[in-house]
Amino acid sequence: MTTSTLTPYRSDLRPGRDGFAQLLRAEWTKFTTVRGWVIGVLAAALVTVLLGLVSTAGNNATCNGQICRTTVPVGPGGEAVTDIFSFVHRPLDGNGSITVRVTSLTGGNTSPHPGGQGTAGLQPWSKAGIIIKENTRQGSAYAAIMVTGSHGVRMQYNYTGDTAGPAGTVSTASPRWLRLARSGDTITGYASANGAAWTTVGTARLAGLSRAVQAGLFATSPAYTQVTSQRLLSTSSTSGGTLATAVFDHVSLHGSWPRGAWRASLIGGGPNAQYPVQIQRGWYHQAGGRFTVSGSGDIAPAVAGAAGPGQTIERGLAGAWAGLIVLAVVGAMFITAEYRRGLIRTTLAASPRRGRVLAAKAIVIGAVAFVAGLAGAATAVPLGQRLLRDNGNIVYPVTPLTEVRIVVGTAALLAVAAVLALGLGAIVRRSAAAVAAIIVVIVVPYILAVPHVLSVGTAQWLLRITPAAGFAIQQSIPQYPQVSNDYTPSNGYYPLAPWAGFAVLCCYAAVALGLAIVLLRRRDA
Amino acid sequence: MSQASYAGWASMREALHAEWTKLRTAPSTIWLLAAVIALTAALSAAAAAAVTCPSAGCGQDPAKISLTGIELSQVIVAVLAVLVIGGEYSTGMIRTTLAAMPRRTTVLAAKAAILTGLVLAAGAVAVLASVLAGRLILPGRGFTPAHGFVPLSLGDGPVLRAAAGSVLYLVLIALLSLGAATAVRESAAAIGIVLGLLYLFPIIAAVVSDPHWRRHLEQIGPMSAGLAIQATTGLRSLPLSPWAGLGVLAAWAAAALLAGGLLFRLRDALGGAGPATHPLTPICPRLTTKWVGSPNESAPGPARKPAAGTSCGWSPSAPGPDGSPRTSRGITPRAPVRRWPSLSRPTGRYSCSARRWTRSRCCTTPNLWSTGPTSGW
Repeated sequence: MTTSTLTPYRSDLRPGRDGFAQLLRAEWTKFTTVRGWVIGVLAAALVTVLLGLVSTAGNNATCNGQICRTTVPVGPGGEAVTDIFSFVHRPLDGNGSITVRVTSLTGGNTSPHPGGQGTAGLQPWSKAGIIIKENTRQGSAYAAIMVTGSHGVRMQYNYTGDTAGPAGTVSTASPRWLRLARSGDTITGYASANGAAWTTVGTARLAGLSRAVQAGLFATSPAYTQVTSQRLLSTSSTSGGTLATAVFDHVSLHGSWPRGAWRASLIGGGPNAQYPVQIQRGWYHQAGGRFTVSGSGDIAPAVAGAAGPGQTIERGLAGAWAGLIVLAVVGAMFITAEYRRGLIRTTLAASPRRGRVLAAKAIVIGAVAFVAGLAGAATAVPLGQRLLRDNGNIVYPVTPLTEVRIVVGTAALLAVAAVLALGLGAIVRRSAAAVAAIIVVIVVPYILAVPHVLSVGTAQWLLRITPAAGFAIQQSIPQYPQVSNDYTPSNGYYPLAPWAGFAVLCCYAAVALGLAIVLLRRRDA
Repeated sequence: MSQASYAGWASMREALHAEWTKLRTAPSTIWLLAAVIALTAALSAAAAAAVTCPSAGCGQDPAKISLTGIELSQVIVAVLAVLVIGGEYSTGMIRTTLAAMPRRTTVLAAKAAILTGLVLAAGAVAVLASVLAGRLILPGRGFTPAHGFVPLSLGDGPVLRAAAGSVLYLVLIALLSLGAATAVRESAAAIGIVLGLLYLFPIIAAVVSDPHWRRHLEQIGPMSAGLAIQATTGLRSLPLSPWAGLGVLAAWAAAALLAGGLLFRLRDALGGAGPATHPLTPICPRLTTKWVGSPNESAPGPARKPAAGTSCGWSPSAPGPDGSPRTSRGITPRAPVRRWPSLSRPTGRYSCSARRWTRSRCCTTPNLWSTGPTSGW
């Protein structure tokens, strides 16, 4: 019996021509052959840089008609800090403790309050108490226990540390006893209502604290900001310095305090410092065992916005909004143009597995947007920083890692937004509707998040649950509860942590893409 | 001369009629207009319900609060206006429109006029509803006579200015969008440009700390300047006076319309926009709109009656999907032709075989681009 020699037909072509790589290549070819899209992506990078430069160029800091040459002190943690207070101190050489009783903390304005209505007076974070500080230079390490305007007793250290103690305000009827004890580089804060029963408020470890430090009494009070009128994205406010005056008695020292008298220093007062008139008249008074100390300023991390002296590095990224809009247009058209021109039928005929088509599109447009965003952000951030410095602004220092996160995060933000636009475009199949929708869901919450347009809570929720949350990836300095400030997006603060906000945007993009794949499979093209 | 002006008026009237029919029969129009009204009223009511005035001198502007919805509904107006011309470019309808009405300025003017009328009507309803909502809600939120507020009333000069100005604001946004869409011929790009113009100025102004820069940005931004018309209190702190602000927006709209109109006149309507020239068009027999017959069209002279059977339609390079010759699907001029095709100026009236001027259906073969794969060609 002879076996059949008939062999089945085999094509000479190499197999594997319908792989995912081919799909990617097809989508990439589609992208590069539409001139408008390539121009659009280049334009996105360009407007990101140009608008960023425009917005940074509009920040000029002038001192007496000239560009300022001020610097900002940097704390032990590397962050910019505010370190301005009235200090009545003695050297402490080794271990020891200081105990005082605070009988009063009152406040006032350092300048006449404009408008005549409302009084600033004592601020919630006006503070006075005892402090152990490395030296009298700004930005040096410290630990302090204090009474505050309306946040009770606090233990604070190294500018960012903050621990709550017993609540309540201080008065002659209900004084507060405070104690700081140093043992090596560990400092413990205690509080008491009667001087007998003490509670531990907190412990701070100041690494590398010298043997000889300065310790004593302090008072300070941050500036107030009061909103006078608000328009869309433009809030006018008045602000001014305030003054806190504290009365201390029952000062007792234990441990290795060298002999000497109390010295009074205004920390943060250079030769050119402009002191409020109340400070100039005299801010320290000692009679018997009673010390009266007045101060104006703050011991806290520096913040961006009206309450802080400097700018954040992400100021240079304001143009990312424009880049986002351009990339959203390209992303939406990447799919809607196929529907419009009828190419979708050819595409799906060539690659019947529809989900892979959309995945390939998402990868191509995401990668293109990422590269464009990276080019734009990596140019805008250093250029903007330089421009801000040249205009006399203080730019808050951040770690290189944070800077990389901001630049790469912005690129990723634009990439995910382009993918979201692609998904929306595939869902609604109309470019105008898709582009309008994505701009509204990303831009409008940001605009509405300015205080007093919506209530603060509503605005914060909008920034948590809408795709606008993704811009949190650009936040360079954290929000501090111990500093009163307008923590709004226009000042660079978002309610969610950077990566959490970005994850919200990613969720939207994933849901949109998933829905688009389901619809693409189900619907007739 | 009088005949010429009559012809001009007649063509304008017919253009208006055609544009009105197109816009009326497009299904999206009525939904977008309804959305303008609903969104404006809803957001305004929400804003009025969210605000409180605890004491006298709380610095709030009740008229502006009750007109907050405009800030969102302008997006819908922009989409509507962009689609008025962008939709024609995306479906190729623009070629039919221009074949029927070769005076391009007239076409654009007619589109602008119809759009203005529609947005005026919808905007007026939306603003009236918003003011009514503010009048009903705000007194319960502390905006009482005891705190120095009278109930919102259109009899009040500044409130009337804010309300009427908000309607005009929407109209100007529509015209700005129409101009931008005419210039770029692409709905998505036009929406991006218009919304970018509206929202980017305030965002940039917000991160600029220099008050002069900020003020200038607010003075030239179409949204921040135009919305100054809504302010009834604190006029002194505005970047520019209410009517001047609306004037800035009007200048933007005029510039966009002018640029769009010039490009519309100068450019080929097909360039970059027609299916046949776009890179994403699948390769298939190229179909062109072509005048069949009528030699000597460019010769000036007395109007001639076209030969019997003359029609405007698809060149029969291939039979239609149903096998019928394509010339039979064209439009037939009823009136004489003067010059064709050099300046494309037939003055006659065209009737449409489909009798409906929807964007995708008139005269162009309806199923050519919008349905499933065709294997025949």
